[in-house]
Amino acid sequence: MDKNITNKESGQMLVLSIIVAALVLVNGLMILAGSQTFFQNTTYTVASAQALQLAEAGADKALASFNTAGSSYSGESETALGAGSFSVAISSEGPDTKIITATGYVPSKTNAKAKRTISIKAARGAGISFNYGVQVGEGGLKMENSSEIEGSVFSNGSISMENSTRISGDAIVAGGTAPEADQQALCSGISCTDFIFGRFPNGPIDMAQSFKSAASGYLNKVALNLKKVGSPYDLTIRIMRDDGGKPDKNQVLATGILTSDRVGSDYSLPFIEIGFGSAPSLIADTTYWIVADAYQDSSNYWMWSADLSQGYTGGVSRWSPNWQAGNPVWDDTSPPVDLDFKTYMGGVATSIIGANTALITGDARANTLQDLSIGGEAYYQLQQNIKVGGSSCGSNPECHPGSPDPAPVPMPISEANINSWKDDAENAGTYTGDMIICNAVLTSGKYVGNISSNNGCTTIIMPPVWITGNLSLSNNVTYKLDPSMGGASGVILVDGRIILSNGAKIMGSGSTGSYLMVLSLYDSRESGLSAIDVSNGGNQGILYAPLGLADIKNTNSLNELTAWKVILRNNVEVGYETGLTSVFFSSGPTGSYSVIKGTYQLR
Amino acid sequence: MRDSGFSLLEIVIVIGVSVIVGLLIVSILVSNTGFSYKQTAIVSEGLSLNDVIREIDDVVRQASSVAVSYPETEPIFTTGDETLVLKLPSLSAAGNMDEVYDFLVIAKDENPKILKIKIFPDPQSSRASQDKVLTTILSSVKFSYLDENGNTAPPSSAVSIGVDLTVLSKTGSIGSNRSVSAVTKLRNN
Repeated sequence: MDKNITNKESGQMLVLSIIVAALVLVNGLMILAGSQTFFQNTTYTVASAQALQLAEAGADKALASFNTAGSSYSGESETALGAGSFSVAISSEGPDTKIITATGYVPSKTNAKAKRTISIKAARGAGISFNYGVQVGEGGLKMENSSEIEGSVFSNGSISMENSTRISGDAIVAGGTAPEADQQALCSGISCTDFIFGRFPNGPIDMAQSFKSAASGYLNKVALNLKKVGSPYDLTIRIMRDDGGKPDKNQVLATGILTSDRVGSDYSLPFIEIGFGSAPSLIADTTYWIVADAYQDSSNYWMWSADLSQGYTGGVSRWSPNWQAGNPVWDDTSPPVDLDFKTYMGGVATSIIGANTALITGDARANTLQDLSIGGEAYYQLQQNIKVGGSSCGSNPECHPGSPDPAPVPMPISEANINSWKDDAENAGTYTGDMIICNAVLTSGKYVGNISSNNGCTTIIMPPVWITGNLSLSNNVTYKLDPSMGGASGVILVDGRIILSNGAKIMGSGSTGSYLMVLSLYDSRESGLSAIDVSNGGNQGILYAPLGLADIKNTNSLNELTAWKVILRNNVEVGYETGLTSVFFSSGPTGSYSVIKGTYQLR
Repeated sequence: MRDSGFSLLEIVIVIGVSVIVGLLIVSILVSNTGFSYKQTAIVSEGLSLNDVIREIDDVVRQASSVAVSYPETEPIFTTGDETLVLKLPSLSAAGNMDEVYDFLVIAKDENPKILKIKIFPDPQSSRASQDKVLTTILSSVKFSYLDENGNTAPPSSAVSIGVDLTVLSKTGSIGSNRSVSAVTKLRNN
């Protein structure tokens, strides 16, 4: 009996062990399955990110190919790159617009574990942003008798607002910039040479020039004498502190972007000015560096005009293959040169001065604010008699005394853009003699003489048009872009004055995002005469005078106004359109392709 | 014949051995189960992080700008550390539309462990509206707004968005945090 009982109990430990082993095994398998899922998911996530990068690389290559091979580039079926490959398909939307569809594959098109597709649109021309309803240069803005701006205003000079004037948006006045350069290096005659950078791997990619400011204060802008070969990527310009005779990569004081399209292919342009998001504060007689950060590209690169005689005694030039390396190497330029530059300090007081009923509905920013009603917040060094949100400053939390002066903003269109449009117009043909145009087509070209239209005529514009004399439009004349331009915009350049009266309308093609801009290159700073004169009501359009006075009278509704100096008289209204933040100007058949902003799509 | 049995010593030894073996088995089971829970939590966190970051990266790439709020008047969602409101170009059959925008919101739900993505298309847009759960194991999310140089910028002028995401997965009584960070540039800015 005892023996039997012993037999029945034997093996219980084994059963228990098997159960435990089974549980451990099940848990182990679950962990393995989970790990496998995680591994596959992570692998796909990495591959997907790589495929997306490859697709973007394909789109970049397509854009570069358009600018080297022209419209003959037709895409590619599969090109290996890094961990995978990409393909590019091209389609056209109008004569100057291409749709680039690029797909990235990892590891290959035929065995794709991950595949991502993007599309962008590219067009010939230049993308230009008008970020303000009115942008004014150093000449400043004067608003008379009930004039009104629907949109924000940025001015590099002071603003004065008379009775019942109104800015429905923000009003910003930059701190004034000293008219003369504080520091500069300039080559002359045979001492001038070119210093190439951004071209050779491990060669000079990033350039630096040191300087010492004469006085302590804010550095409002620098100006550089550059030219480009091909279409290099934009330059990033930084102001850095010194670290034992080289730029200190951990002490970047300010950063600005110099877009490639602002720079020409020769030095015929004046020094190109670069502003900064916030002006850096410099200490007198202390070494700082201007650093130009470029991408390496053997076909598309930069040249910096340099002084072999090293006439500038406040600094030296150096170069680096990578200023951001762990321990960046900076070499002296060989032969030793000074890179041509100018620095401009701030510190010149600017203001917004109003009257009893002058109103700014948004924020107001300037060194000095006086006699204003402000709907938003107020940023200033000095104020007198301002009402912010209906209350005086003092303990008002919407008043911000001691705010730094805003940094100046350059004009949105560069000389390089203007010269490029002139070249395109001249290449299209030259026509000589004064013309009176009515119900006709004004084709792209250079028109030597004056052009006028009146009495309800409608003229179709094929841009770019360059008029060496004056442009006069009166009595309900309409100038509009050719409908075939689609969403692209166009420009009429006028060396002389632009005179609009009695309902002259400057219009785009009719498609969304298309605008026609008239641009006067007349210099009012010497003559005092207006570059743009708009009178007698009903006029519309985008007007631009980088060196001139825009004198706007009576009741007119303008879409955007940019000028060195602006006077708005008697009930003038400027109404800003949001589409003006990304206007794409067609430059004709010889222009380079750029991505049209807002067209990036993941598919 | 003498009845044979176990001596007290034998029984004590057997009981001792049984206790030791039993403790070993229980210990193996407990540690194995704990290990299993921990690994399951890690897998769950990893999968969630991968999916959320991929989704956020995709929408930020396609955005034109950061919106201050949605709706722009009487806002329900306001861009900040834990809420991101993006403006995406609206879609039509021809592609992205000019100056017409859909709004996309990434924000915590009322249940703070849930992170959601919501799309509010413009009436002219062909993009579908969406109210989708990104993760149900959120511990924290923080958005940062960066300028061209990677410095902090006001949201309305940001060209890149940084996101720091932490998830907390709990299986049984065991849980752990796992974090990831990413920065994505707005391609349509």
